Amino acid sequence: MPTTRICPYPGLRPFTEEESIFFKGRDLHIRQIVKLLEENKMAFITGASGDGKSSMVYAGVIPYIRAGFFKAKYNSWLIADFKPKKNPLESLAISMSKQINEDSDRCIKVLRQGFSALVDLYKNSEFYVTDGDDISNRGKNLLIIADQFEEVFTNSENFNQGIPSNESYTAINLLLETIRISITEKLPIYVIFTMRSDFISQCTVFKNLPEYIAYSQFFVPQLKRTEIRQIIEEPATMAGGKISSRLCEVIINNLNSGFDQLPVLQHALNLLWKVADNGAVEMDLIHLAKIAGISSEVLSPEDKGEFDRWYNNLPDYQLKFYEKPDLNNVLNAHAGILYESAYDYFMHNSDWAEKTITPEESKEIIEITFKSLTKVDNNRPVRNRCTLSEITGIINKDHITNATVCGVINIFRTPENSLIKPFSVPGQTETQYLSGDTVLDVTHEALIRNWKMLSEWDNEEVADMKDYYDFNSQMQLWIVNDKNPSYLLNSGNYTYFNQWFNRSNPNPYLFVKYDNTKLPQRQKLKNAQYKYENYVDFLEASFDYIQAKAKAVKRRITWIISGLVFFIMTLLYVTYWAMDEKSNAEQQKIFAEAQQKYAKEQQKVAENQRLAAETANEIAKQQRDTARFLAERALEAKTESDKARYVAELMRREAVSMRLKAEENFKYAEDQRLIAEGDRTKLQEQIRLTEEEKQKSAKLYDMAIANMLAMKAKNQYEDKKLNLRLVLTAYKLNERSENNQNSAELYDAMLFALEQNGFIQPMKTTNSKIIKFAVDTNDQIICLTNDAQIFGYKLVSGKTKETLKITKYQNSKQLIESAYLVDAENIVYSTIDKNTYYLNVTSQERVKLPSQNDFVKSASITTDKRYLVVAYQQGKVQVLNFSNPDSHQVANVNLKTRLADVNCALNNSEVYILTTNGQLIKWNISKNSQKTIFAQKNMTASTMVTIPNKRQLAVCFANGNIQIVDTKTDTEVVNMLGGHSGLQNSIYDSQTALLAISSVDKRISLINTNNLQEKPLSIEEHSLNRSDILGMGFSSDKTLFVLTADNSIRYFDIKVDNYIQKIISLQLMPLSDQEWKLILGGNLFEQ
Amino acid sequence: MFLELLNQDIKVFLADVTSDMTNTRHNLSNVLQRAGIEVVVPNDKATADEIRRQIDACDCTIHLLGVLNFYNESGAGYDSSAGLQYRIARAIKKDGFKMFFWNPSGLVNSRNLYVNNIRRDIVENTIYSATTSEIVFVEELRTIMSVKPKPVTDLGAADIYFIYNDLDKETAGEILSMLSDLQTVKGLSINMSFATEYNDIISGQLSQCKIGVVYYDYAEDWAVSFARQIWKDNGGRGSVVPLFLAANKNHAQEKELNVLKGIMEYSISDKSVIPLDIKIFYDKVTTKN
Repeated sequence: MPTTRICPYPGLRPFTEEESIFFKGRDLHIRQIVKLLEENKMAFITGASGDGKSSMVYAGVIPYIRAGFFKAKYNSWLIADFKPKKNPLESLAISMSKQINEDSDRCIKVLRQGFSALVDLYKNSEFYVTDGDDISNRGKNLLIIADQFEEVFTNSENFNQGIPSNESYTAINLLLETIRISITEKLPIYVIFTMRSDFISQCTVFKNLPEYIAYSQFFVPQLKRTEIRQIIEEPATMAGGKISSRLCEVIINNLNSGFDQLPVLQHALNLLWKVADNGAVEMDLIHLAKIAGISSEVLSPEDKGEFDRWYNNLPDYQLKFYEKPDLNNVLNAHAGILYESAYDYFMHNSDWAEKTITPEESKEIIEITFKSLTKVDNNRPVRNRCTLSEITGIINKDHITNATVCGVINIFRTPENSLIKPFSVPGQTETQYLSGDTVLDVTHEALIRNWKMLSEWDNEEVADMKDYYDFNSQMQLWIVNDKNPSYLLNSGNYTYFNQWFNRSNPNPYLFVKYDNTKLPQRQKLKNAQYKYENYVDFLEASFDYIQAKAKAVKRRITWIISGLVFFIMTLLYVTYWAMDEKSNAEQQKIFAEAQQKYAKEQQKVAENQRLAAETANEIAKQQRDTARFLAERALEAKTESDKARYVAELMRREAVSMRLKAEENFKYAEDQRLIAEGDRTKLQEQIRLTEEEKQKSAKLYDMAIANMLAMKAKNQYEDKKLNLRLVLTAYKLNERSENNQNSAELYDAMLFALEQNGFIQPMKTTNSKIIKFAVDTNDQIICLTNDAQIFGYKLVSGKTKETLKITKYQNSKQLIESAYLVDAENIVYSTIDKNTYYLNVTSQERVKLPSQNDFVKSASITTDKRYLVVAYQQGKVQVLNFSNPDSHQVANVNLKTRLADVNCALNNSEVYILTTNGQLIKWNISKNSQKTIFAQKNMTASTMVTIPNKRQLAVCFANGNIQIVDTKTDTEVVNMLGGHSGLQNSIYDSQTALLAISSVDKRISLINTNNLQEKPLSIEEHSLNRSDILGMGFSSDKTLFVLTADNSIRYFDIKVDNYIQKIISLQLMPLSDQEWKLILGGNLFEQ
Repeated sequence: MFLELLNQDIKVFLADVTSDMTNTRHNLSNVLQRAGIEVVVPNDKATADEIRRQIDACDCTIHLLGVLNFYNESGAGYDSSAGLQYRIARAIKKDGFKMFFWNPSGLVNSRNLYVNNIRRDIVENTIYSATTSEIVFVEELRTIMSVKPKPVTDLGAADIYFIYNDLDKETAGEILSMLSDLQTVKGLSINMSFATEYNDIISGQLSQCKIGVVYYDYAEDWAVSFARQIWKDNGGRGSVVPLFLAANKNHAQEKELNVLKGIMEYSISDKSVIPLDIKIFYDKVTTKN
């Protein structure tokens, strides 16, 4: 039997059709619904929120009828299920189109006609079969499910102010007519509605709908104790788990009846299963205690001990959720723990999101997310689907992106938690990192009612929204009255609403949430933006107005106080003056009386004095008036001066403010200038880079075309000049693209083109069989024939000139078996009778070397010309006095293995010996000691060559490997591939630093030792008459001579330029458009 | 159907209680009788044997839990008649017999910690209720005791119960014939045009067989859903009669059967091999048992 345990409790989400096997407790009700369908063609299922209507249909009715426990016309079923959402007609059409394989746009168009349109769509589909032998196999019954039918009433797009939209009306007309027609015509079409019962009264707005409901309503009964027990116990048993009877009884007794009974139960069971090691152990009271569903005091002493140990290891932030354990607390605790641990989860997951938020911001994101996913409808918090972008918009912080929000709330979307839809799938990043337009939804409204924190948030939002509506109505008055200041907020209201604004931090996305119009989302957002700007304006205008009013009052008070002070001062002055006058008058009176008395005594004098006194008095009066007048003017001047000073102060302040503003503006302008400067520099840099890229791209293109032309130049054409023209064009393109004009492709193509045109011809040499050759410092080619003749040739203006002929050692009977030209002067060869000779070309002297009874393999001379070292094929190496080689041997060694090559080291006393079995041995002649430099056991060595200027030795192997050894340290410098396998001969040219290596496949690679990464030039077999290569030599004018088995010596310029000059001198026509087209193909030519 | 269940005769033994629960017991007795339930009340002078006989004649017992401890570990403590009757009831082994505990206060405090012990001792036939209402308690009791009779199909026992859709009757007939040579087989053809309570028939017959087999060839739309429903109706992994789905390779595809993984075994074979597949499954199941 299978051993994998599937969790049989889905938690807050509804059962899927696949999970139907664990949907228990409703068997009787399912049968009753099916019976209704059989008899009436429809079932209108109503019930309270959270009583499992959808699960009953998807996990109960559908599997039941698919299993064949339903008497219907056909064996199979089409299930067209839909939720009305914001357009019931469209939702129905999309669902139908998927079932009957019809285009959804066409479906919508047809269904808009109402009445029989839905039936006609079905009857015209391939699934309605009326005749034929296999009716029951091809035909399919149709079941239409309008799930969460209350959305017709809850979405303002469908139902606004008691009036249904046309789409809603049409959709319901279609469904009711479909039922009527399928009853009349006995069609296998059935319709199920599910709807919350609190919306039943609103159904009366749709004609005939109440009658149909009365005809087939099924009110979901409250579950009985036995059924709840089935829900708890049976899925566990069916999934291979077990739940203890005592736990079952505790759950049943602690479960609240009414709202959210089932979601709370399913959620708790889901957690219990997981806590009980995914059903591996029997679910018991201790597990309920671990999910904060029961007090640990109820547990047996053993379980209590285990629980306490577990509890003590919990992080501190989780402990508060265990303070009031209860079954109805489980969901609250679960959501609360996720809320607390979301930040850590985010930081350890979500690699795709930037992690720049704080733990507090993580909590803020969760709060706003859940506030956004819920809204208050008729004072009831209900779910409110919205997109990730909308939530990010409401959060409204620059550094919080969709990715951040998604990463933070992902803990609520994992399959283990599943509190927010859509759920993520482990390992599938696309289900974790959602796009901004993904619609999020709380899995069940039970979460809203049971998560205390969320309830509090919702209450806060209810209060905030009440303020919002009040504020909005105040603002609307202001707007409709042309923003008349008298409709602005007064000081008290301003303070209140300003606090609300700062606290709730509203933004356009939040207003969209409460926009119940039928407008498209984009338009709603635009309106909200406009509204938001108005709100800000309204608040600012109110603030300014209140400030202005306060200033006016202050100014008035100042004026009143100033006037009052002035009045008092004037009054005091006048009083003082009057008193003074009075005092003066009294003094005058006394004085007059004295005068009178004195006048009586001196009448005449007195009369005169009186007159004088009266005159003086008059003058004094005039002076007083003048003084008073002057005092008044002075006072007026002082007032004017104060005013002027006040105005001046105001102007000064304004000037300061303007200066500050100007400075700010200047700074801003300077910043902008710097930014612009930066941008301009960036732009210039960008232009330069783009230009470079463009040039690079053009060069690459030229190179590609050049390579293609080079390839084409290797084809056989009727007009052989075409090969040359192609090569020349490729060369020019390479030149233009600054590519290496000496490229391997071009070189090979050039040789081919030149051969085709007869420009490469072998030298005319002797008819005798040349077996070896070498080039001397005068570019003379010294050839040794198999009958021991020696010829010298020189190339003069492309023609071969014989410069030397030595025939005195010619011997046709004892032909040469093997020979080695140390250079153009020193030759060592063995005849078939195994006699070995040394021959000096300059002196034309020949001596016989001490016999070794073997054939020479290789020879070398020390740089001090002291020793001649001769290696023999079977392993012997002899060292002879170079000046007198036929005398006794200076030293010898027998390695007893076949030798490949021998080479003298630069210090004159050491010899490198290469054996064919891959060993490189250094033999010290004076000490007669050997040292193995390396031993490549599984490789066959063929030849080696000295690179004197670098003090290196290149060892070639038959498998194509070239191992370069530093002779100073005897260590390997590089190990590379020579381009071909079966390496045979090698030669190095110090002038060009080229290493020429021939291989058994009749090709030569020219490796640039100064740049080993460079692709080597290659002389292909077609240039060598497809003959084996016997030897190679470089001349001083950078020409490579090659001796091939067809007894020819060919020569090649190793630079393209030399050949190109030759081709240019032919003055060939450039390629015509037609030839370009023909060679490159039409499209490429156009480019 | 629902009403028929409620009309069943139920006989309860209303056990003695501690002194604090006397009135509650009296009220409960009245409500039980109003609900049409026969109440048996123990006689004060009845011996333990007599009480055992009385309880054995009832469908269930009711024990009321109050503040006072109605039993103690030694069995000789305070209010021992309630404790004695509880222990006698626990020893009753009878199909369908149940013990109801009612704790109307719903409280567990330091004086009645024994309620916790009772809750911890709850076994399969024990029901604990903390509802405050007698009516709710009695309604629950009546529902729990109204057991739906198990359907019985009188086809007789067989090794294999072979079920197929009428669409596949031709190949199913051949397989049935071959299978009959190996084991005893009862077959059932499902015809969806007939209004028959197939699930009752199947449940009844399945209990008389050792394995159930669902076979299909053309009826691929039907078979998987059908097999799952049968699996569900008959106890899932807890069932003693395992199910096997045999698919004719003519139409079956592995991916369609993926939903059965973890639920039941299946095979996709040529019709000639299907009897062997079934036989192998049968041998595996019966050997294990």
